[in-house]
Amino acid sequence: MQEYRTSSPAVWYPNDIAEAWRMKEMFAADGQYIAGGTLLRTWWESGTAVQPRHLISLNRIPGLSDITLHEQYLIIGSQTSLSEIRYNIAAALHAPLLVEACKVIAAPPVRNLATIGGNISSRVGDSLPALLAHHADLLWFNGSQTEAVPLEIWLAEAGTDTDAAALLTHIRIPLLDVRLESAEPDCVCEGECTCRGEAAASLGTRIKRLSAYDKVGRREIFTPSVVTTSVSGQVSDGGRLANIRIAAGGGQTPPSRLRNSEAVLEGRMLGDAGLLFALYEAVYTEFEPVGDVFAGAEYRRLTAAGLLSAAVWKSAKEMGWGEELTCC
Amino acid sequence: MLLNRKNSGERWRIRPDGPGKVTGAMEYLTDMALPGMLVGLVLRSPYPHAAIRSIHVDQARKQPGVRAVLTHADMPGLNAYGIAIQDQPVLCHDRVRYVGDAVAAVAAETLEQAERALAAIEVDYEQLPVLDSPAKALAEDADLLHPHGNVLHRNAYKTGDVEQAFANCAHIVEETYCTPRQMHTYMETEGGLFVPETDGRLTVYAPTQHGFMDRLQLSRILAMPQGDIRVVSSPIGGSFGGKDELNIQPYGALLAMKTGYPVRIHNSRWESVRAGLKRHPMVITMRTGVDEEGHLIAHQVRVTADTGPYATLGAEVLNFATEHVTGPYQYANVDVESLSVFTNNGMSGEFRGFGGNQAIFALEGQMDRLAECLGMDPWMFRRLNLRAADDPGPFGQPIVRTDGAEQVWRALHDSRLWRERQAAIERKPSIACMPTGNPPTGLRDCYQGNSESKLPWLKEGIGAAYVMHGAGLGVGIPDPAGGRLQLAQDGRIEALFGYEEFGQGLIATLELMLIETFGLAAEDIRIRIGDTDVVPDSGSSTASRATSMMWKAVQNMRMPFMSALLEAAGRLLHRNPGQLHMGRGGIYGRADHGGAEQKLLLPYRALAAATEEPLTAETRFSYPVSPVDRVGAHFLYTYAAVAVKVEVNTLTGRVRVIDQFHTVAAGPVMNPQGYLGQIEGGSSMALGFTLTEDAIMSGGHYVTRNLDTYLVPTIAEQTGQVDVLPIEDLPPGDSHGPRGIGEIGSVGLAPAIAAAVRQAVGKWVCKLPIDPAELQERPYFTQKAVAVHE
Repeated sequence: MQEYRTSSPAVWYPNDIAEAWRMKEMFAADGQYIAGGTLLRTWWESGTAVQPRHLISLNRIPGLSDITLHEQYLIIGSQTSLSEIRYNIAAALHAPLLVEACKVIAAPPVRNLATIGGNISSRVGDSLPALLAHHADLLWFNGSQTEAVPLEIWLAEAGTDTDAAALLTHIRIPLLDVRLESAEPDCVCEGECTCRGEAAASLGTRIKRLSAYDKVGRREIFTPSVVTTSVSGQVSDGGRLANIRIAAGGGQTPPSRLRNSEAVLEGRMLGDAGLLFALYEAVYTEFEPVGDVFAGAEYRRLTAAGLLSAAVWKSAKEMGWGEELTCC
Repeated sequence: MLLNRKNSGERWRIRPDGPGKVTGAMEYLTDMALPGMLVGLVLRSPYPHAAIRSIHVDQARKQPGVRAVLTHADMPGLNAYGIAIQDQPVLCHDRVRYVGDAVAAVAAETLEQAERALAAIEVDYEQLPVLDSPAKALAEDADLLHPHGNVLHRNAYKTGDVEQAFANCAHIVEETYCTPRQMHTYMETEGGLFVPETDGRLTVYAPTQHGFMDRLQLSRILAMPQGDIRVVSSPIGGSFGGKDELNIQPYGALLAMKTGYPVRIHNSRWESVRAGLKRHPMVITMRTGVDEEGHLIAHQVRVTADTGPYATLGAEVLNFATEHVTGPYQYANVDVESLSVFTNNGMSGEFRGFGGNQAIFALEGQMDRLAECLGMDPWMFRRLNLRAADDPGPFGQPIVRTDGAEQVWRALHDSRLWRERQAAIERKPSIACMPTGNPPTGLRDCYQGNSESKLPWLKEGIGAAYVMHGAGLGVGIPDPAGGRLQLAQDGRIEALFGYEEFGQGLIATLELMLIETFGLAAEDIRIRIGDTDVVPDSGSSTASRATSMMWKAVQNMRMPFMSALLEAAGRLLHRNPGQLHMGRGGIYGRADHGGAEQKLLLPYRALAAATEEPLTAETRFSYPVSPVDRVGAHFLYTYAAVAVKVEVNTLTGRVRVIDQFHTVAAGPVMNPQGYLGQIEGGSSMALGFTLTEDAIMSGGHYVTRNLDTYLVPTIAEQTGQVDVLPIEDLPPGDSHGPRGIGEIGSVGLAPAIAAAVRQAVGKWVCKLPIDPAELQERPYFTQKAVAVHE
């Protein structure tokens, strides 16, 4: 029952991902990858996890700490710190929800050390609802090659036998506008999308983004999440919603997409009567949070339903699809 | 005039201990180290309640690097401590009563060796039923935690006949209020360095609020004369009442004396949470009735405090709560009963506000509810029932007269925030009242302010609360004060007090007091505190008493000390002492017409060098007490009123404080920066008490074991304006000077927030910290068949 450390682990600094992978294979359960160490440290101190004998530090491996913009994707190295993402211009443009998440995870000194890879690997990190809404894929090195796995699939595989040595090298986020352009060849996006032809008939000529991320903790900052939500999608100039993604998590709740809630919005008009009623009900029904002594599951459900409905309501206002702001 | 930098002029000074603290250059006692020192650790109980069948330390003693392993069998003196009652074992013998109880102590050459030794100690426990609530501890078949039972203390105060009075009430409000187990959360956790000296004495470098009390307690434990123990106790990285009682000192001292080596102990945050004191969780039921006009005619109160396993100051805290549940109001009939109960939860004890925070949260909640039932403005309702300047104190005892109650009432009434509230008010029928036979007449105040520009789920409200807070330890408790001034050999004027600097700004306040009293420069002064070998016993730095007692001591010493210096200077200068005066750097001459000469005649250094007799003045006295036979009753009171504006996010139920006004009637401001710091800092502590802080326990174990789950407010919670308006007037002839302000800032914010929340969202809060789930609402635009664009 005493919380005392008994020995310090050895720390290894592999030079490349293959070497890191070999070390993990060699040490097996005695070894653990480590990046910023900000979360693991709290686990060791609290007794939630036992400190392993070998720590395999990833932070000297070249090429894992960059944010690069490609034709189709924004690619973020797993060793990129949350602070770097927060202040990155390409990320602000193409992964705005992730940037919002990186503003509210922990505190500045932690964000300077903590990496996006570590936040994802925790499986409950506050970046996950944002990344789900961004359609992110995870790139894993498995000893011989790199494989892309949709984040959603990886999250769903929690608890199943996965390759323990597999190393998360990058996060791949499809460019928001590329997604639309690939789905709708008649649309051209430069910040805002413009469509012609058939696409214009169905989507409208100008497409706006629906994008909101909210984290609610037990205090304003530097707080564990109670509920984290995100929503992304597109709104035509006629007010029609498309490509909706909704995700929620927070605390020990594994983040997940809320597909039924997405379906409530998909293809509907922003100004539809009963739309937000339906969304609120759908989120409330679909979201299955884990309660604890600080906040019960019911509170978390109500909070997620309220936040997501309010996010859509607010976007509708800003896009001119709602009433004037008045006091109720 | 608001208290701030601009209005304070030259009195706004850089505090002497500021640069060292801000840069981290200053060495705290827990930063100290000596070559060859050992590391001390304490083995604490894993169980909230268990019998000890056996303790085996042989294996632990054989571990490499281990110099001592101590159990109850090794105690040289009294195996118990406690400021008031010595009922807490230093090292448990046959029973453990909470998860912080100490069973063994270890000293080893390294931390790792000490950890191994702890792990090698074998303790055979038999778990016992855990009494994790006062209700369980009070059950007829409950195990007795102490020979005299599970009630630490009872108190009561009655006047008139409340039952008869309730029959005549127009409105009665009954409510039960619950307050949290708040942690002091000082940045510096408990620790220190313990050094056995070559002459057989022991030097203790460890934070405390009363070095002489620690010395007394350690002398009992070590069976050593007090004079053989030196306690050095400042500077301290925060205390707030939490380090007044002994914590790690017995273990460090025992291990150092046993091994003959210096021993360092420093609690981790985990161990600090586990073993340290917390604010008493209290459940307070109040039944309060008024007549048709709104006069308070009956007030019945029942207080139950969870004091944890041992006494420390639990009885005194309960006495304070008993005195303060009636507040600054007049009632024809009062019936208060209070109870402090031993449990197997964590230790409760002294904490800034000392039982007043819990009492005032409940009392002010009653005032707001009653005003609403009457359809009255809550502040006018308080005015109607406010004590007059000459009225007796809450226990009917004589108290020192001031106009503070009326002054702070007026100041809040006229404040910017309260005027904003009055201008933005709309009154709606209230359904919250429980009329006695009559139909509800209540009106609820609703905020109709600048919400047009806000998002519809953000609701604002403004509320206020009133505080009357006693200072000093009260009747029947030794409360010594005193100090010494002396001219040191190097020409510095030394002020020696037995007080402690734990961040409150005592050194800065004393320095300014000396500058203003004697016309000195800061460079002329040397302040010596927190060292029992050097300073006189000035009593404890607690109970909002230190500034008052320093001021009184300086007043007492002013003439004798000046006379001693000026007479000595007069002899040296061959001048009449009446023609001399003290000033910056030394003694100056006074011109015939009484004006000051600018010429320095004799530097202090020269005066000290030329004087054989020590030039000194000393004073000893006690904190003034009411002439009444009622233990704990107070004589000097400070009054305060707080108005606060909140914003409730009804999507999340979370509350933000966005504007604050504090007015405090405590006599003259001794140090503007310190005063402001005390009120702002106290308010910040109250913010945590109200919104986020609770050391949650389950089955006698802490659930919140570290600062990742126990959440104190951050700078992001400290949003908006904080105006502080001091009221400095005292009645003509008042001889008591500045009143205490160390605690009062931590009291009124909680009930003011509760009132503001009521105005914002129409809900009464009776449990702290506020549970956001209680304030959460479904947004109107998600109601069925509401279109976004409707």
